[in-house]
Amino acid sequence: MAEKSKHQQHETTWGELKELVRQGCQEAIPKLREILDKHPELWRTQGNLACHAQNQWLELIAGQDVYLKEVVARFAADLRAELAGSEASPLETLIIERIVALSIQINYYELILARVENLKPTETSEYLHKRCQVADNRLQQAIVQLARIQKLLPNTRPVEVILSGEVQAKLRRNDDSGETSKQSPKRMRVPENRIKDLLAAAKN
Amino acid sequence: MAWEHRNGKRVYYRARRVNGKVVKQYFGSGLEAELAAQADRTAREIRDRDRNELRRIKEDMEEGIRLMKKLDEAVRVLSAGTLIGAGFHQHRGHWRKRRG
Repeated sequence: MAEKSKHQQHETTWGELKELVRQGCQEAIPKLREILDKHPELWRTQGNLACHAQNQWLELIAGQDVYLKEVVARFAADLRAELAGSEASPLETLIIERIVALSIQINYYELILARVENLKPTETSEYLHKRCQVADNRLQQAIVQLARIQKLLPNTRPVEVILSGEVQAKLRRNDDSGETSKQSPKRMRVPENRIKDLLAAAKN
Repeated sequence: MAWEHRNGKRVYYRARRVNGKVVKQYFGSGLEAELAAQADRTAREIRDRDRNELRRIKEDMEEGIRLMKKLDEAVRVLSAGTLIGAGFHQHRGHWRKRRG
């Protein structure tokens, strides 16, 4: 009730509104929706935030190496396509972008670790190991979160319909040439990878 | 780790911390002292290089970590908003569908 009166008494700021939603205040939801509808830049910025974060890690990994940048960007795009398919909701998309950003972040840590690690552990290698572990835990949490959202919200796709970029491209080629695939695109399975395995495990 | 003057002689001591107390190891002034001093100097250089490297890496990562925190926050808020909007509530950390 205190939350409700606080919400009604004065013009709630965006920060306060976010806090109320975080605390589970039902009354704040219509206001949140209204603001998000009125100011799409708010959620678009947050969507772009994932992009900024990914680019930041990508820059750190590749620096001036354009080839490496291209390779890691393709790895990220492939992972994104595998996880999202064509039916991901905006929330799923955001969680997937977080998974992609975390994967690039872990790649960066591993790359730096390989460079600095000697036979004897140093302050730097210990620090990087710790950060890598934290990022890995966050990645697993994000995967569990994605699985939970897909399970709880009825309009989301099941895990097994995820398609890899390569499979999607093949399907598009088949469609263009008039071929009909016997297997529905939604039923095709992606190649094995760690994230998909974790996703499936989290869902069960 | 330092050279000290004792009775007109230059001698080398290596200081270490053992159980919170500083313990000095005596190496004298001969070849052993020179070798110990050289080893300590090399170790110190490696340690300094490592600290500088760590400082540089932390500076590089600062922006990325800041953005990741904001992204985590955005995902948390939007997840909670979407689930609450779909009729869920949080009970002891788990999301449950409201009855009725």
